[in-house]
Amino acid sequence: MSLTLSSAAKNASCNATVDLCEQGSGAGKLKIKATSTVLATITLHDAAFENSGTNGTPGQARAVGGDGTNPVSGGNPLSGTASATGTANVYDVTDSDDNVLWSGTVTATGGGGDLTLDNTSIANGQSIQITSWVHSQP
Amino acid sequence: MIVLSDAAKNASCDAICALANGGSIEFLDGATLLVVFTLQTTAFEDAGTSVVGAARAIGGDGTNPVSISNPLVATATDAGSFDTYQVKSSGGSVLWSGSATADFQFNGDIADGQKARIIDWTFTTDGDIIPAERLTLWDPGLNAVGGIPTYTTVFASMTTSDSYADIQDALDDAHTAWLGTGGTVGQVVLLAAGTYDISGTQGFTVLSGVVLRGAGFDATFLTKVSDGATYPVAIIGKRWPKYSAGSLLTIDGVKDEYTVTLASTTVGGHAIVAGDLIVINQEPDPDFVDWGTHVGPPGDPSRGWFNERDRPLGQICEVVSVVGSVVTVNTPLHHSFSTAFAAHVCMFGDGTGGDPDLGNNGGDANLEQTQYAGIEDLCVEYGDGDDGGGNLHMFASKYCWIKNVESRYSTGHSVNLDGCFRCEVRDSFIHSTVDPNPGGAGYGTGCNGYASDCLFENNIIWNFNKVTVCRASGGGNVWGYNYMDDMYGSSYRDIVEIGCGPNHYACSHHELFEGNRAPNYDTESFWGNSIYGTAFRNHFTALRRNDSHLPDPLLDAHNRRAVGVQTSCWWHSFVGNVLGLSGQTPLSGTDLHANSYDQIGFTYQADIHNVDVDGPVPMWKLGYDGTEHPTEADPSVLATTYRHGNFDYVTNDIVWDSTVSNQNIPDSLYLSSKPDFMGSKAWPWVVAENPSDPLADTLPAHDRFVAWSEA
Repeated sequence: MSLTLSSAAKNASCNATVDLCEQGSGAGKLKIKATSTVLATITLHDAAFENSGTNGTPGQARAVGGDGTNPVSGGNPLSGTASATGTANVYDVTDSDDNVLWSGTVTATGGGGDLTLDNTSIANGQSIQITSWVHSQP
Repeated sequence: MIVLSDAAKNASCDAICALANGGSIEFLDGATLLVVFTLQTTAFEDAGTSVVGAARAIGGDGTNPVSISNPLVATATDAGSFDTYQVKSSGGSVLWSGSATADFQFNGDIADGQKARIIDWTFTTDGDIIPAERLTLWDPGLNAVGGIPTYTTVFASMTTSDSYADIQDALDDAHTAWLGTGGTVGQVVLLAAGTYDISGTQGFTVLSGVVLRGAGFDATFLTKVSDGATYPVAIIGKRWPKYSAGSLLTIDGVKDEYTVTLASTTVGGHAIVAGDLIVINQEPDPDFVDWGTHVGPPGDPSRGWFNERDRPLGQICEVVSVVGSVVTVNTPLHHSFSTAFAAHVCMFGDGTGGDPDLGNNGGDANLEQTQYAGIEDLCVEYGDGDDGGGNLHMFASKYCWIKNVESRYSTGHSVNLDGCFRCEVRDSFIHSTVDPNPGGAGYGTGCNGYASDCLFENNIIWNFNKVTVCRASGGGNVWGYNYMDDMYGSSYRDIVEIGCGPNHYACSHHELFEGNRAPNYDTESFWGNSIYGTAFRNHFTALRRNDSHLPDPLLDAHNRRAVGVQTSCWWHSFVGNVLGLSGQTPLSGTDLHANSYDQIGFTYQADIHNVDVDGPVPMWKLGYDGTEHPTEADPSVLATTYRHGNFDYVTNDIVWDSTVSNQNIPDSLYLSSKPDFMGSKAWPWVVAENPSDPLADTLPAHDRFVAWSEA
């Protein structure tokens, strides 16, 4: 295919995916992993993402932060506690029933991952905060 | 890279398709709307019904997917050749658009009032198989105007009793006759069987509306003595055109768009009008152009050998309209052109008013364009003149062609397209330079001087120093389904020369090599780099044929490889190719210079930390330099080379780029259906996605060569 999508089509596509986070019985989840080992599970809000394009870029949706309303930021992070020790390199987004919706890469800030952490070395029991997360599609 | 689950792929696809409910799909030829189909109230089936993340359009019955028996039907409102399409919502908003030739298959052009049918259409958001910036619209040669016309009006029938002057007079008079018909009736100058000795002449010149036609390439021979007379056997167009004074772009020209905005639409004293050929070029942007170390400094004449001086990145376009300061053309810009690098538009002239210090460039735009002229069904030999000569040479022409010829024993390119637009070389046997060495005398086919949107198809190109060169070529050109082999230097017959590829001067861009068979694809940067070359569904064997008809035998002792990308050659893309040969064997022994060598075996990729060391034969040799011999591979080449879905006989498997989700390799990047010359052969004949049998058939041009060789 050699498609060029309009902004409306990009937003529809992105929204359709992130809306799947709410399809289970409860809120969706973000699972930060060291390959196959889950290091931390952070429960998302319902809705988990703002509408695609709200940040001015078609096909992009920012995750909703801790206040349940506004996008994640330094003052409005998503928070969780690590359940294992390891170096984060991938993440899964699942619905509340743990069906994987999509996956992406995790790197330290500036590393070019789909999700970035200030430190990918995670220790069991450590507090984890997501201060920036934008889902981009297609 | 984000990897979507099947559920997410389907949801995403459904969300987009739902926007098209009750909408439409429009097919266009440039800016001309050809036909509009109304989509059903439910335009697409649910995604995933047949393929995850994909949905088929609903056909005429409103329920089931489109098919031969359930098409979407519409009536064309104009005639033309599809190149783009756009899908609109019921409210008229464009939802998505794409290349019609890449996403749909057609059985020909469409006529006004004709019923058109969509019988197969699947939408997917699975992404491009090749990143969009590396692609362009490849609609080369005369495909865009319905193919090469067949001229039936014989203006003159000539025999070997006629002199060179008689025949040239007939060609000139035929051109006048064509003008007399308002350019509507092509004229044929027919040469009867026999040998026409034109030694000591300037060779024939063929102008608009005329075909020089023989009785067959095994019957009519045009022969010159290679006496240093520096003239080709035949020319289409006017030799040695110059570049006129230019007019600056006032807004950046954007890749894939069809317009440029100029400070003045009068260039070189000529007001640009529809039908004109214009040259768009710019000063070198170091992000794209690397002149290398062999050309002279800025301003040196060597930087103007094949382009307006110091402006190697360019393109030739045909004008459709001029409105105010905006010039609309009928091919997309294959590359962007930047005002920051003084992008401008000029035209061709004869040098009148030009600056002698600039090779008489910068003068009047007064060159008569040659169009719809051809050379067919004859054999030419012993043309001379290096870069300005060769056997058959087109200059600044459009919609011209060379068909079914044998071109042999040349000094200079055997067939050369200089500054041409939508010209075509096909079904021919191009072979055997008399000077198989670098320097311009020993090249097979050339696509130079911003030549754009030209086609070399179904040819044999054999026994040259280099089989293809693209010197400041302008993009949109295609080498399709040619057999190319046995390229070498007479003093280094044991070192494998570059095979097919956009080569040998700055800054060819966006050229396509599809369906060919050759020992290798390689780009080199001796006289400057190339960018955005694409190799698609070729078979690169990593072994020259070493045919018994060569004057001296070849030995693939050194620099044997299937693909090479040399230093500073950026953004070359490889998709769907087959590399190597089944049962391939390494060579060892003593080379032609009495040195021992041992290839040991084969390897997937040359060691990037010892990139120029002979050893196991690599399928991929990236970032090396065949002249400077660096040890470390050029990291800029490693970073910009794109490889996806290629099969090789080292891994014996197809190798995908793990970051690219789309693994559906289209049949072609420039053809909408199986071409006639493939006959009963399987098409595509290179099927890397079938590792158990990656070559579905043989290539017709290769078959023809083998038959000739073994006869």
